[in-house]
Amino acid sequence: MNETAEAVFQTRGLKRFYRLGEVTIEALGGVDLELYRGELVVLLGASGSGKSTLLNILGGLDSASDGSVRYLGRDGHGQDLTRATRRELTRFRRHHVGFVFQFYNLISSLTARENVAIVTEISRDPLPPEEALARVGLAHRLDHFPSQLSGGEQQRVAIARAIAKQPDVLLCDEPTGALDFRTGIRVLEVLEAINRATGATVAIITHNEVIGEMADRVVRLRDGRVDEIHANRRRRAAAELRW
Amino acid sequence: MKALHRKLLRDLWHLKGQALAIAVVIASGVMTLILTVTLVEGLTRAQARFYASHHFAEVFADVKRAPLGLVERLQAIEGVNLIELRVRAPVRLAVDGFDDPIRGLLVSLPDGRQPLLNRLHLLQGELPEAGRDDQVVVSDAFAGAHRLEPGSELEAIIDGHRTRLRITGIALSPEYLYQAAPTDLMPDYRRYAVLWMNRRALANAYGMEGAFNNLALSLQAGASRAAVIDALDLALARYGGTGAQTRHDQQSHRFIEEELAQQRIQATILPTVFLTVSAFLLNVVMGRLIQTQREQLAVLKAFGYGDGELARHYGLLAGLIVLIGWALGVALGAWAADGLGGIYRDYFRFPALPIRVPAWALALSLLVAALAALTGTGQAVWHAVRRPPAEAMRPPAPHRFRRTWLERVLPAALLGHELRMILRHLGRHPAKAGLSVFGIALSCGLLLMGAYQLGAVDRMIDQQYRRVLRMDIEVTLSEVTSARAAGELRHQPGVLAVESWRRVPVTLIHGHRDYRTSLLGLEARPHLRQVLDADGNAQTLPAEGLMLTRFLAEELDVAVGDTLEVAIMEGQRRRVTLPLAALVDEPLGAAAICGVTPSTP
Ligand SMILES: Nc1ncnc2c1ncn2[C@@H]1O[C@H](COP(=O)(O)OP(=O)(O)OP(=O)(O)O)[C@@H](O)[C@H]1O
Ligand SMILES: [Mg+2]
Repeated sequence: MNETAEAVFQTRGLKRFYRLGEVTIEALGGVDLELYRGELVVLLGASGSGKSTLLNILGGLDSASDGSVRYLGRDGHGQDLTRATRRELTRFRRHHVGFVFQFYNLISSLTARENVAIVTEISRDPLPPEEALARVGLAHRLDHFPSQLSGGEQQRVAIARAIAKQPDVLLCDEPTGALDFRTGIRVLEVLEAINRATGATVAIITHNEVIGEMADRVVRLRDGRVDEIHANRRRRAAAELRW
Repeated sequence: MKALHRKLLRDLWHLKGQALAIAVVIASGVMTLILTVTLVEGLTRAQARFYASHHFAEVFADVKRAPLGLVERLQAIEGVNLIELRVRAPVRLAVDGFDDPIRGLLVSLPDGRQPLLNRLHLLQGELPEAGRDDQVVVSDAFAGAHRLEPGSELEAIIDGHRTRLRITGIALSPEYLYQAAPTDLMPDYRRYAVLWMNRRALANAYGMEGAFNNLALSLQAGASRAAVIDALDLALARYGGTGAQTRHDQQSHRFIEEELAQQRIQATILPTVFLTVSAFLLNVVMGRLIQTQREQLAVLKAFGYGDGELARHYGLLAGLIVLIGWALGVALGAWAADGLGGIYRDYFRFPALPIRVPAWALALSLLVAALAALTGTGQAVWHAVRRPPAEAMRPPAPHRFRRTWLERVLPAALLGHELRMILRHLGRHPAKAGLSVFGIALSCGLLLMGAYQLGAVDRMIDQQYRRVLRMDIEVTLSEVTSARAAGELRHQPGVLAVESWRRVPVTLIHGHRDYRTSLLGLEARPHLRQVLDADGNAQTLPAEGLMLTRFLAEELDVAVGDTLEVAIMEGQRRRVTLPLAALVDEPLGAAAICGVTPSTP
């Protein structure tokens, strides 16, 4: 990875506490981390180590208790997410971030095409929903409802939804967690292709060490802190992964 | 169509069962509002229109007998506009094929034409021809009860003389919309009639040639009612005037006003209860519904939908349900008003009762329903929208429960696991549980209110006709008659007991309050017309002083022991001061009662 590359995200001393009655849980205990433009990062770590919390804060879905998160967009638009108002965070999510969740989270009353359209309708420069779905190999299932799709197909619709707005960053929380091996590989191939084709920064949370091999860098979290960052000399193609 | 709107419609379709349930609750609230408001508005307008078009008089007065020539003096009273001098006479009637006696009131008409005031609304036929003394117009309620038509004949006894009368027309009068005999509680159209007859014919038959015994007048704009009444009373005193009255004391008008007042109260209470309940139900159901949409909401937020857009989305969902409920309520309300209007038409006898849902009622009901929905859903939507999306997307944390104070108070052995779970659930949402209790209380209240009205009427009738008025036959004499007449009646075959009393029109005055009623002079210990106390026991009349019904005492703001002034409105028109000796508990009427000796003029 190019050392002079621009950091899309830069976190400093990032902390997140949860207060449950008298006990305070420290989900993030001071994270210093950069994500660079165009790279594919895999986040690994034990359950409860704070992966989702970190990704949610980066994506503007949650706010930090302490520390800072700087975001720098491709258009040169920079902002401090920890200081952003609700309205600014909404705008940030709308124009810059795409999410893929472990349980797809499609809207069950909308078809595949409509699930994508509901996002493109509020974006600045989106792909047509049909094209986004074609990129994930679902051109023939446009008018199916989520209940008529398999788990892998649903996850691909979710990816189509995330990429249709052509986001700067694509944040994926265990995108293959609920899928079998073969379907998981297909989904990873799609993410890899997007990363190469659009130059979007892609972050993937997983429990699967093998997936780390397809990344530019692997970030390992432990107890709410960055434990280790490992840069791969060479990315392996998703199709070559085996587990 | 936007995907978000499509989602809205599909969600609505998916939730159709729940949505319909909410809509029906809203519809019932809106329906009661539309129904009551439409009827009140229709009745009020029908009344106003009929009064205006048929020149309903504003002041009425009875005299014993006054010369027609007095009209000039009366006309000179400041503020008087039109005057109509009339003869009114009690009449006994007989209709072929109906055996019970019929009482009636004959009212004079200017020969062969409509009066200036209280014009008749002829439904059939025409007025009596000028100069005819055997033609009458009858009230339509009476005609309807006996299927009488123009051309039918009646047997009548006027002032002791029997004649046959021929019906020329059937009419409504603004003066007798409500027709009940003075001693009756309810209208009895078969046994009470109002008839109109040429003035000269009636005067001849009733011994009132060149004279009148009743007048009606209208006022000039801005005239002082009180001043006109004082002047009238002064002018009529020597002819046996019993005091002029405004519409307020006119039987028919007063009855209708009270009926309308009742309708107006219902028009506020019923819809309020229904809409409060629907707001509460909306709150519960919309809260649930939004709970189930929590995750979708979070996803939409994650992709950049703003708080406002989402609040609008769910507001629209609630709004559509409200709109459906409202439309249903308006349709049902209009339909019910139309149906009930038919019943009211028979009851109030306005010539026309236009049932039209007023536009403002539509707007008001929509506003009220929307407000109910807003209070019902606003909070649930706001809570859901304000949650950070990350939090909304993880499965809901197990609820936090606490031991309730009841558990601490009650011995553990008494509480099974089930009861404990129930208590903790209730304790988790005390406000919600409280509102549920309140809602159930309101609906029980509604049920009770309906049952109460029936029970109250039953009880009043029982009290009045079994405990107070215990006679089988009541005979009213048109003249004051000596007590010997009672003795004669006692000797009639089949008569067990006779009690006589005297009824005198009076005005009771206490401080600045006054009330016009009649004073009953009873025997010291009446049995056939009992005087009850608060416990329902028969009282003996006090040797000294007056008794008033509780209602009347409150109206006049007097307590037992206070004195009041009694202006006797007939004979020598004396004024006496009497103490209030005791209260009477009667459900009906506003009688003043005294022993027969002290106040007989
Ligand atoms: N809303 C919350 N309230 C309380 N504690 C929370 C909340 N969200 C996360 N936590 C706590 O913060 C810590 C980190 O959670 P996080 O979800 O980030 O872990 P994770 O690394 O994503 O785990 P997993 O691999 O199981 O998804 C955990 O201990 C979790 O219990
Ligand atoms: Mg996680």
